Amino acid sequence: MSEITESRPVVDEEQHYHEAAIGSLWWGSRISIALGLTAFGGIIFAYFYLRSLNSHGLWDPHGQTASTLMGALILSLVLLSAILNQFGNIRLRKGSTLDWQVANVAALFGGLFAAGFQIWEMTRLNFQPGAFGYAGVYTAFGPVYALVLILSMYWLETLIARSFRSAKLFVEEGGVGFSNLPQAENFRANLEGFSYYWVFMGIASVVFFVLFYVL
Amino acid sequence: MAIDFSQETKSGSSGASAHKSSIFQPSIITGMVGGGLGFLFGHWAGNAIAGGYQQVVGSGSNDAAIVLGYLFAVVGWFAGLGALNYPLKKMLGFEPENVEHTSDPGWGKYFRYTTDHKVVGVQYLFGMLVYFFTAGLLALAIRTELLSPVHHIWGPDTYLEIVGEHGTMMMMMMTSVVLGPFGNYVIPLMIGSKKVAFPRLEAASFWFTPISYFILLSALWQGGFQSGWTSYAPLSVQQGVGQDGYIFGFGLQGLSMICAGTNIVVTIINYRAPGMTWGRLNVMGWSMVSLGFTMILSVPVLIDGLYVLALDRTAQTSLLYGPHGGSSFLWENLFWFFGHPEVYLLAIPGFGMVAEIVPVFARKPVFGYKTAAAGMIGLAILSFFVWQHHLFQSGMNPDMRPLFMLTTELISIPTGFIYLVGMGTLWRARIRLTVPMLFMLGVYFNFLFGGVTGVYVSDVPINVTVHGSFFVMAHFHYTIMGGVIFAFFGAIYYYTPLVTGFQLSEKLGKIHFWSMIIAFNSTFLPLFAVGLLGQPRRVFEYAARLQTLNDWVSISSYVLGLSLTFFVVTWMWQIVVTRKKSVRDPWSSRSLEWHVDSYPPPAYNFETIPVVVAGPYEYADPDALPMADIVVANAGRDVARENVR
Repeated sequence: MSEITESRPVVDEEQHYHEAAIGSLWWGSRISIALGLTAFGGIIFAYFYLRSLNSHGLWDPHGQTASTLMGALILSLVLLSAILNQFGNIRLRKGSTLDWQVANVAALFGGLFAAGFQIWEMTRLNFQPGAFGYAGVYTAFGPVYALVLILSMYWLETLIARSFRSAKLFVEEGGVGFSNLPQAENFRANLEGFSYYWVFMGIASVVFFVLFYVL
Repeated sequence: MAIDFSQETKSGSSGASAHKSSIFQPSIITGMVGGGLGFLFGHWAGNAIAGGYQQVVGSGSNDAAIVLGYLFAVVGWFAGLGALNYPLKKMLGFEPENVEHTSDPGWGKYFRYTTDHKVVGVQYLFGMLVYFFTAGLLALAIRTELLSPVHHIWGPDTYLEIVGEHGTMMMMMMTSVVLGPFGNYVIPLMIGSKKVAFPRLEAASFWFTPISYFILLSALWQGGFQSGWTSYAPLSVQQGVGQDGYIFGFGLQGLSMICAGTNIVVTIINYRAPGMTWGRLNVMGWSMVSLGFTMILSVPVLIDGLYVLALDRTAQTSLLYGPHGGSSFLWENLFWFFGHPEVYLLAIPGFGMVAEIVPVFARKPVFGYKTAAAGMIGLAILSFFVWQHHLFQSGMNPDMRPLFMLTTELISIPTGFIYLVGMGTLWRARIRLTVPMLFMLGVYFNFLFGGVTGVYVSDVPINVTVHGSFFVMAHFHYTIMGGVIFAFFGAIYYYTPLVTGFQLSEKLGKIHFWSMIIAFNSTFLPLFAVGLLGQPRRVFEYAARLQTLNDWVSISSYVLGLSLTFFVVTWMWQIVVTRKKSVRDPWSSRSLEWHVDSYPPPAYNFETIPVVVAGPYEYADPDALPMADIVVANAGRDVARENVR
């Protein structure tokens, strides 16, 4: 067996693992989208399966749905939150960390209020959970949706808290949006992953609204 | 005790921290306290919320209290383990912390929530063995009942509880039996990394399993679940509170799979050493990527199904109840959309382990490396398109049967790829019949029976004939126990020197292997005949004419149990008492994991990141480059280089 003769390439270990961590954030956020797709996919499958079966004519015999007004409010809040997050990202790329923080604190409250309204909605449904097919599927969907919104807002909250706590680190380099420090690059990769995921949730919320409140 | 191969070992030289033992430090004990308190709180809350409902008062059992008890038990368990500290710190805005590796030589680290991938691997190994032997004892209880067609040890209900508990525990455990111990321990070493991508997810994936085990086992004391591991509705909706143990236990194992799958996929994609291209990735790495993606895409649907079942039992929805607009088929579809990929969640890592170990002892490259990788990816993809073959008998639209028969038969193509890759690797090889190799050959032997009968049962006419019989039961035991469990034990023999630093006895290992493979085949081969002769599974009585065959099977199963007990005793004896030190690279493998400074590997795996320059299977090629250029720890900072052959 021959021997390695060329000189050993220099591997910057810190840079290697920094790039690996950034790649992991990219993949982690995409996997969270895949998990969201399959988790909600099971519930949406139940929706279409029971709707198409219409067992004993009891999918939704009286055309009852959960409050459309409340559904529209929840959807609006989620979309507003996603838009504010995107707006904040644009401001961050232009160097305004404060604008990003303000926009994303507002986005955080938007998402939390959406989750709160979803939970409130579950307490005032105008049907019993087992009354008919739609009622059961909505009862399954509501808590999962609220939980996912809360977990999403946990993710955003950690980013906001981190931007406040680490702000001084990046001041000299023009803020976390411009800094070349590894922590700043890691932050931006994490934020990019969240924003991508949050746009997915916004689109998914439109689909849920159409299914549960319009059709 | 680490066996040092360098002049001076500096385990954990990159800043490893040693734990100071303290009874106040979060550990499994504080976790259990937290879990117990959480259960009490949740149970109280469930009674407060739902205790007054007519359904609860009328039935005398409150599923809401049990479910909330389990839910808060899980929260308390993780809080007690200290797993919630880091997420809470993140809420306060602290920067991500570097992973913690431990060079603590004590045993305490194995009972704590730790982010060291090697510790997690060892935790998994022992955890999975506990799972396996518990479920194995339940199997012996089943076989004991079937010694006689008329004289009973268990009542029919108890028999079904045991069958359900055995099946569920085995199916839950098998999903992690290779990924958990060997994926977590070996894969980072194999790809030349010091870290994994998400160490806390990895740790969580393990710590879901003990509480899942306790909850599932506790179902036995609450009336069990006679609905079996598939828990079809409406029977599962009507069951007592033991069914809640099934729902929660399986659900937690599902979360464990998601965490483990995410971590392993992202680690392999991002943390490979420089030069470790996809074309140089070990076949086991390919199997783990295929496995991880399959878990990520299938397990959430199982959790959906379990959630739906829990809602029908607690919130009185009627999702699985036709007369109120639901359908029991909803469960069957959600369950099997996960359930059939699950079969491949079990098989793929077993195949990967076999393909990894066989070339080492055949001293030949993997025959058709790309074919092996393609076979695993093909298996993973096709596994999502076959689930309806479990419903051939359910009253499904008959026009759909040929489609799912075809997709099921198609899956034999990638399976065949993997099998033929193994045969090609063995062809004209100078095989070293070591204990790990014997187990791998055992996998090929057993899987032939399991695989060929799988083609039979995918065909609608045969499926309709043998459905629900011992024939199908024998088929899947040949694929799962004959496949993945043999690979698991082979891997234990193969990796024990690396993980513990001790060499196992070939003689004792061979006694274990031969007794196990003979007893295994003696147990399960007659069950094909028993099934064809008409004995249904999950029934505690059978025709008197089948007693001889059943007695043969039961006695063989006891021998199988003795063989496995022999393994436990001799294995523990050798790593705890005799402790014969392993030589360096005892199997002459090219793969990176064997070329670390000491066995067990040092805290940070490698002194510096290895640079990979060749593939892992280029055996018997005199012109092959060594696999990597590795820096070995030694005195001072001088760099010694080891060319990994």
